Amino acid sequence: MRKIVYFGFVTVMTVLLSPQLISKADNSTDSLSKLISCNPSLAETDYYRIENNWQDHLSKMNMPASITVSSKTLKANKQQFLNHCEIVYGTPYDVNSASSKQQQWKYDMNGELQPVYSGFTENGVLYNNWRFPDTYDYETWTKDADWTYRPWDTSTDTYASQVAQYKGSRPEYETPPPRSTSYASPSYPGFSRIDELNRAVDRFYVKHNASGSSNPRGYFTLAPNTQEGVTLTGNNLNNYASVYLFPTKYSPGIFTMYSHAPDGIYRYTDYTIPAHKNPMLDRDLAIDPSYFVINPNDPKHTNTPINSIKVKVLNKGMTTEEDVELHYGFNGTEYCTTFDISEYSASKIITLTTGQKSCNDTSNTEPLKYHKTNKRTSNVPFKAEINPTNSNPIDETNTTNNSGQWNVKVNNPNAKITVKANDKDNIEVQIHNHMIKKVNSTCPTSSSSYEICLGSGNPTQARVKVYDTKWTSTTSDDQLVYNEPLSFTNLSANDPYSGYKTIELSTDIKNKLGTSITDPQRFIKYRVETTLPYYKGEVDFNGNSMYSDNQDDDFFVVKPPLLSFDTCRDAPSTYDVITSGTSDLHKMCIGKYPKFPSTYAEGGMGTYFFAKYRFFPLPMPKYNIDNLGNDEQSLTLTEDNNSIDEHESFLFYPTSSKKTSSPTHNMKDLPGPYIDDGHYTYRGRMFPTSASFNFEIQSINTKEDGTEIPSTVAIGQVSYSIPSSCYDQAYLDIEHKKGCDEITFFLPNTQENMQERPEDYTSDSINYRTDQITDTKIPFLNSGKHTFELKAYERQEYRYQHWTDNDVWSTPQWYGVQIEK
Amino acid sequence: MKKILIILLSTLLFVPQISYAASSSNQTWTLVDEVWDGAGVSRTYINKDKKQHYVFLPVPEKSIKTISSNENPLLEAKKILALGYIQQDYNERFSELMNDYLLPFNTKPELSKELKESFYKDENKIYSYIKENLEKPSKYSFDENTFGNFSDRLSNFSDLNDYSFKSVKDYVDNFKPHTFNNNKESDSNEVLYFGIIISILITFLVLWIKKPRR
Repeated sequence: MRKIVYFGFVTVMTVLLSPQLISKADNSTDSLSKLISCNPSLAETDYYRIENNWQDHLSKMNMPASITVSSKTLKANKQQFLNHCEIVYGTPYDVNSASSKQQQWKYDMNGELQPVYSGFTENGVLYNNWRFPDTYDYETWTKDADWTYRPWDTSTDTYASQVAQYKGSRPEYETPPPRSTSYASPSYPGFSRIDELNRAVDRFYVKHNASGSSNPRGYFTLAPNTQEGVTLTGNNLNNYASVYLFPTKYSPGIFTMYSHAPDGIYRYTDYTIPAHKNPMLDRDLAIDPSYFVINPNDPKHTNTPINSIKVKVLNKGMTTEEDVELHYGFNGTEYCTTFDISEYSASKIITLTTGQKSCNDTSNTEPLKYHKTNKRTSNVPFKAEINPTNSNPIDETNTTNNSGQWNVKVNNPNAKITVKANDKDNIEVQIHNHMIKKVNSTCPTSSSSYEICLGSGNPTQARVKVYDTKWTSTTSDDQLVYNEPLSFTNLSANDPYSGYKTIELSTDIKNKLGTSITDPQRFIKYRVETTLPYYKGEVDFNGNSMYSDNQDDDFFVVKPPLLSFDTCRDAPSTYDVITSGTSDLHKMCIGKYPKFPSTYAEGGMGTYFFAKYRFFPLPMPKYNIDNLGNDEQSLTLTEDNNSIDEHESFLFYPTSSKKTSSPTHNMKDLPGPYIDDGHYTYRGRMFPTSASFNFEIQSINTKEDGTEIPSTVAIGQVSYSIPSSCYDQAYLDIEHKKGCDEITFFLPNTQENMQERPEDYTSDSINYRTDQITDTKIPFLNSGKHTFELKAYERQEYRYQHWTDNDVWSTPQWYGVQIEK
Repeated sequence: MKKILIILLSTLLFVPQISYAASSSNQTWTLVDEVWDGAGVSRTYINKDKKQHYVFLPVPEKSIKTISSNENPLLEAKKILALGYIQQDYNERFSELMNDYLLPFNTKPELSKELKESFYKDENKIYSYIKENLEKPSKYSFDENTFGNFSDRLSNFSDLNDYSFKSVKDYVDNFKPHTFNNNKESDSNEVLYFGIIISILITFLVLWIKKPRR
């Protein structure tokens, strides 16, 4: 069945003008339609037809104004350029006189005379005109034709008979020459013969199929050829295609396939491979991703001033571009400037010295600085993008290469030392190496290193000092009792940015201090001070010099040995205690020594009264409680800080019932700092900040009728303020250590308080923290029954967190509402 | 019946005009613009599908400076080209210059309304220039190298040989200067409209003549 339909003329021009033709193999993503279509605006042709502009255009394309072929000067054909966007030299009329070929003409379907050859390429090769009409012209011709396999192969049986019959519309018979000698080789960089063949357009399909414009490859890919049984792509097509002309940058290629046509004659059909660039329409700007210069070179710390950043822009298109926007900045910032680039295939280095906030306002700038990062070392991306809104030029053929991104390393080196002294048996020092390199035992001298020591000293040696504070808040009167170096080597070599080293100091300190660390008659508050060498370039995350964390201190309290309590009272039920574990939680304990005192008159030593008191936030978080013996308990918080559960253990602002009032109040009628929709967004607890303890010791005299008549032996008050360092910086909790959530104190025995005392008893103690406990004895005068009463008053303040955008609770903050309980 | 016949006949008198006016197709190209582009006359044609076609008529290189310095370089270029074509006996090129022929479509183009007046005024001046200078020796060479890639077009193919170009002599001898009424030449469409009105008048006249006989 011959499905051949004859058409008078075949015009491929219209077919190939389709706008959606996509080049599969073209890495630059230029569409085939853009490459081979030619529908320039009047403004464009008005520009290019002016001779000076045309010559300038040729020059900038690096194309000659004329070439010489067979001693004939052939000018670049402006008319062909304007009509077909092709760079052709000479005209169809020059073919006969400048080559051995004979020109031939046919009308295409638009009534336009089409020559076989449009002229010559810039290399002097005849320029095949792909618009020249075919004998056969219907949709499936590519699929249905009986193509000749390797038509240039003279060894085949049919070659001789075919050669004699090859007949096309050209003026001479087309005998396929041996491929090795006469056929063209691809010349466009990066494109092999197969790559180029895979860009071929099935002009028959595109012309006759309604969806042809969206699939210009047509039956080269849609279906196998019915006669040959193979899909005409890649190496298959290579076995049929005689490529006379491969495309260049601005000229299309053409290949011929030979077939045994329905009329019984061997004929040929030409196919087009589009040029790689459209010399009129192509506009393509790009950023060179391999070029990026920042001064000063990275790495530098956050906010280090930048003198200049240089990026390279390229004009790969065919148009001089002016006032093109270049957007740039580190991640999260965007500045803008404009540039001109007037040369084709030109590059231009743009030097950025300021952050220009508006594209058109060169005066509205701010300094360029190394970007902020909350990491000790980080690669911060710097991005530059040309024409991001595609507004100038508006018709770039390829915008995928318009942006570049480079990582700029920002180093915020820092070293930190922390000490945690819960008690004499639990003292730990942590040395954090947030420097960029391993801390070595010698100070490097290279300026590229961050471990350069400031001043003298061993860079791998910290120092630990322990002072007896004598219970004063000032450090000037502290008594140094321990002073030793603390060595560390090769710290965190494998993970220098987050590593730290933990050193247990308890044993060392106890060994050095010996038995003097405790005193049988007094509490001792020790301060542990640790210092780390200063290293070069230590900064915080804002780039400010940061050495304050090269030292840290903490305290621990040593109680007298053999101290035990007579009785304890558990946390009251009104605290709504939420606990886990096996023990009841002690709130207060009291005791005395000796347990069975004798009177002063009896020569008794007097009696110490002492109490232990524990502070809790309210509502109380959930704790694990472990008994440690001798009335000692260890508390561990079990709360998940990033959870929004356990609502009953927090005070929220505002309450749901009152959130519409103003100011909003919580359930305890405390005015909240926030209005509207804040419920469950702000949570807090009341925290004790200080306490006073009123005590009274009474002697109970019993009358004969059994009536008990109390008389005061001693009365007084002890006050205590919780150090600010005792409040947890991450949790709504108070640190669980002596001196923070737990205090143990002896009752003072001041002159004013003492109701009964011997005449010679003259000591006047102020409070338990500074005085020897020998001065706080109660010198009982009379024997008999005595009572001891202790009442505690706490001052509490509200401390809260808010739920952040990062889905975590914030660092706790104080809010100044106070109550007494 | 006679009445209808007369009406039809009167209408038919002007059918050619109507047919001509309605026959525009994509092969009908109209010259819409021409400029001096610095090296020749650059023309823009457009068809009914708004497709553009550009034609470039190069001048001898030695004439470029003279033409460019003229206050009306387009007219000066056309005068030099016209004279050169005549002296070289390039009939086809002369036809093209006079907008009587468009090569790739092998057709006679039209002239846009906007361009008509200036084009005809130029034409008058060109013919005057030709008559004044025809016998003088040519100032410029119109050989192949001068024209570069636009030489001897017709000799390349035989398809156009059947196109009946007027000889240059015919052009010159038969040229009648254009006249301008209120600076406007009559439009072919005006002839058409005039014909339709006349047809209507004849129809009424026939009806009026027959009526008294009833």
